[in-house]
Parts: sequence; C-alpha cells; structure tokens
Amino acid sequence: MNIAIVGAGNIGYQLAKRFATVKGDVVVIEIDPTRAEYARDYLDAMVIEGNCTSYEVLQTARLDKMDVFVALTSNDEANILSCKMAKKMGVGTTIARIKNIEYISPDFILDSQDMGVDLLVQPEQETARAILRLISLSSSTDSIEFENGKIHFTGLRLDAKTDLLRKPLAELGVAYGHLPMRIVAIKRGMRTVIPRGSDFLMKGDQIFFICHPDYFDEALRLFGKEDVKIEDIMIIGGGQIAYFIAKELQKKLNIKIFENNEAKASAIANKLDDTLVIQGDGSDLDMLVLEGLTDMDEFIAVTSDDETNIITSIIAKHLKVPRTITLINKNEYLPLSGTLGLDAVVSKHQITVNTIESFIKRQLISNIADLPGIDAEIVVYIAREQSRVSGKLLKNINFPKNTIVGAIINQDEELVIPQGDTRINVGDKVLVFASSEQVLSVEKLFK
Amino acid sequence: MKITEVISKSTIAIGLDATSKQDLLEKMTELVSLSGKVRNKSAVLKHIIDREKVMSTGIGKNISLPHAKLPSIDEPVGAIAVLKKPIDFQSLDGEPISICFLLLGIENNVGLHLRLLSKISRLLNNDAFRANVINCKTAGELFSLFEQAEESSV
Repeated sequence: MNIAIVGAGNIGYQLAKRFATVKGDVVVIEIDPTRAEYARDYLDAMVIEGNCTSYEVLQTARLDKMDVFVALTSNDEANILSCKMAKKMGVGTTIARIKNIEYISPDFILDSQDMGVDLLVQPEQETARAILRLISLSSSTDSIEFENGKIHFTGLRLDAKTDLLRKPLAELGVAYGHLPMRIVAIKRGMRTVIPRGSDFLMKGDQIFFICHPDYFDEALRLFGKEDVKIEDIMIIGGGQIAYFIAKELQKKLNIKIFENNEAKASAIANKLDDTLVIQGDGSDLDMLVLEGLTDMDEFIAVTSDDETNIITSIIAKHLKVPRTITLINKNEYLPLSGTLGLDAVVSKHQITVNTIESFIKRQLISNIADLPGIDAEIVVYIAREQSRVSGKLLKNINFPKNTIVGAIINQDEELVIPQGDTRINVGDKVLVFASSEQVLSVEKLFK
Repeated sequence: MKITEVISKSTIAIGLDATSKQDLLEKMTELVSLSGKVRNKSAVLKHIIDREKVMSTGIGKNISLPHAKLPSIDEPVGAIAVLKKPIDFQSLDGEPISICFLLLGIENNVGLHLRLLSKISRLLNNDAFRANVINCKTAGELFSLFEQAEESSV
C-alpha cells in the first residue's frame, strides 16, 4: 500500500512512522523547510518540500501511484482542496484533518463526496468521543472498540483491592476459567509486557483485557473495581472537546465547565443550555474546591495547557475524586502518566493518528491501533484458506514471543474469548496483541 | 481538622448588617479578629479583596466564601455571618448572598486549606443545612448546627 501524507507535524510524523513498517511507499509533503529536513532525517519516507495544493507538487509525489492520501496541514481548505485533487488524480482513499466543526455538521451544504474526502477527522471531536467512551466505563483507564463495538478492549489500573495479585496467570486461568476474559497486556512502570502463563499481576499495574460484554461487570469485580454511577462531572477548559462532551451528556448528568477566557466562556455557555459554565481559572484550586470538586464523580482536564491538566488532575486525585481524565498534548509526557498516578490520559494526537490509521486499515480489512504510552499494537487479521493458522488449535500455533490472541470473531459474528484448545477457522477475525516489532512476523502467519 | 475548630461562638454573627460587598468584607475581617488569632487586620482585608478581584467567591445559592492564605497566622481561622438583608456579591449565579463564611488558611498548608474549603462548601451547598443556618437565632445555635453536621458526617 502506498500512502501520501501532507504535513509532517506531530500527527503526520507519527502516521508516517507507523506506515513505515507496512509494505509500500510513504511519501511526505511538507511546506516548511525545517520540518521537511527533520522528516527527511528521521523518517523512512520520501519527503517533498512544497505546497499540497500545487498540482506540480502532487505530480512529483506520484499521486497516480498512491492508494491513500492524508492531508493534515493546519489549513482546512487546503486539506480539502488537495484531497479533491488527489481523488481526481486517482487516489482511492482520501482523508482530511479539519478544525472547523461546520464542515462535519450534518447540515453543511457539501457532503464528503462533494469535497472528495472519504474521512474528515476533527481531532477535538475524536478526543471527545474517546473521553465519552471512558466516562461510560468509569473505572477504566482505556477503552477501545473493535468490530463495530463487538469487542471491547479495556485498560485499568490495579490497586490492592483484588485477590489476583502475585499469582501466575496460568493458575488464575484455571481458577477463573469460566470467565470469557483475557489479559492481553500489562504495563508496569515504563515497561509493557505481553503476558504468558508464568507472569503475574502486581499492585499498580495497568492491565489491558478483552472480555465478553455479558461478563464485563464480573470481570471488573474480580479486578477490585466496580462501575460506579456517574452523576457529577467537572471539566476544566471550555474548548471544543468540552463542548462535544457536554452536548452529549448534559441531559443525563450535572456538568460544570470552567473556562478562563470570557469570550470563550460565553460562547460555550450560549451553545449549551443544560450545562453550568463558570468563567474562571481552571488552575485556581480554591475555586474548583468551592465549586464542589470533592463531590465530583469525574474530573476532566482538557485545557490547552498540559501542565495545568496534569497538576489539577493530581490534586483532584489527592482530594479523592474517584476518577480523572487528563488531556496531554506533548508526547514526551505520555509515558509519565503511570508514574504520576493519573487515571486515564488522552492524547489528541494519538487519538487522531489512531482514527486515521484504523480507517485506512479498515479499507484493507485488517485493523490496527496503538495505545497511549503502551508499546504494543492491536491488529485484526482474517484467517484465510491459505493462512498457516487456519484450522489449527491455538496451542499448536507457534506465535512469536510477545504476542497473544485476544479475541476471535467467528463466521457467525460471535465473539470467542480464546483458550489453548480454541481452533482458528477460515473466515475468523482474529484480534492479536503484539509488541510493535512483532507485528510483521504475526502478519506472516495470516498471509 | 473540623470546621468547629476553626470558628468559635465569638466569630459568628447573626443578623449582620452590611451595605455593600466592601462593607461586608471589612466587617467579616473585624469579626474574624475577635478570635484573637489574627495579627494584622489590614493584611487580611487586602488578601481577601485581592482574592475577590481574581474571581468572586459568591459561589451561588446565596453563599459567599471569601478566603485567603496568609503567612501571618498560626492555624486556620474562620468567621461566619448570616446577613440581616441580602447584598450583591457579584456572585456566579448573579443572586445576592445572605450567608458569608470567611476562611483564613496558613500559607504553607495548601492541602489543609483545600480540605476545609471543600467541607464548608459541601455543607453550605446542602439545601436543608442552609435553611437551618438561615433560621438560627443565636451564635450558639449556629455553632451547634455545625457540630451536629460534622458529627453525623464522620
């Protein structure tokens, strides 16, 4: 698969990096000479310096040979226009990042076909969606859906309130064998472990598991968590993310939004009838406390300032707010989230990259995503007639180390949480968890 | 630390007559000074007025919670007044206030200060408790109201 990416900023850079391991060419178009040079030095890609709305530049990028075109500049109109050009030049899949939410409104005069864009990605909206998923699963740190919601992949942090600590997973598998649940990754400090039977769980571990939806509550109880009822939510930062969250939840929950900027505060207040918007500094702890921070079920920090988000979330945790969700924009901070004791951390860039990547992969049937701060990827494969794994029992398949099969969706569209004696049949969708460097070797098994 | 360790009967005023926000803050400063724990009245007034300038502590439901953290006190101290008639406090909900709780915290103990503020705010946000406060006739009555509330919440 050949992919052209416009804009080597944070998102474009990460996207290019991810596709560097996929077979095919990666072309990056960047207008800024310094960024172009950086991309040339650090990315395994052909880098073209130039403007994405120039036909000449697009021709140099050999768009006629490209399967996917992703426009990520900070200019909405340039992104849309270049997608339209790319379509005309024969690119199959076009994706544009946009800021202006009018373009994604159902009332907008042009639809995505008019614009020549297959997917419009609005990072704030994607981030809000990710946060909404987390709110609906209040004790989790991460939640990703696969296969149209059939598979829920959940992360949570273990505390002392579970009996599962310090016992080998193989032993637990016997004791709780009736539960269709599988732990697919453990994050301990800065390290990610794809677990084997001899591994065990420790207090403070962030674990990731896949579970049959009917048994989800039971699994949570086993991990010492309960899905708490959410009534009151405080959000600091009244930007688009807060808007999308409040719009979705304001009828069901009590929501308070803090926004320091007067114009922004009144703008969001006017758009949200059932939300209390307070014009005030979200980093003003006294004020947050006076406004009932300690009685909140959930604290969400989504200001544009990472440090404010991190500090207020830590204070909220300290004041025993049951759950915090923290927006972090700087990639360097992401691996620190565990060390700082934060619950759930969301990164706008990661979420955007995941959305785009998973859209592209969906076009190619398989599905891949990675998690903030975790050195592992989830890939969905389809077992084919000629695949080496087809017809075999899981225990008889020689999976590379640091990989684990998390779930299978069979041809009847049923979710199977696999065990050693589960057989992979032709047509099964198999969800594999693998450390990033193993993805290619797993791919071979399914070819 | 309990709220009843911060206020005393001498720092409670029922039917306090205040004409404006400024007037109320001055009278609250006098009131809290009756505790004997405040060394510099003018510094207190300046701190709480500065705090109000950042954002009004009129948090709605007819309550205001002016507060400051000071280097010049040895332990947190507070005063509470039920006003004779409501006054404008530039509250967040635009409503006048009729209950004012002043809290002075120690500059170096932010955690304690936040915990006290949250306790006070939580109590006063309770509709039933607030109604009882408004109906108090004497400082003694109001003090025991806080005592009862803190005992039952432990």
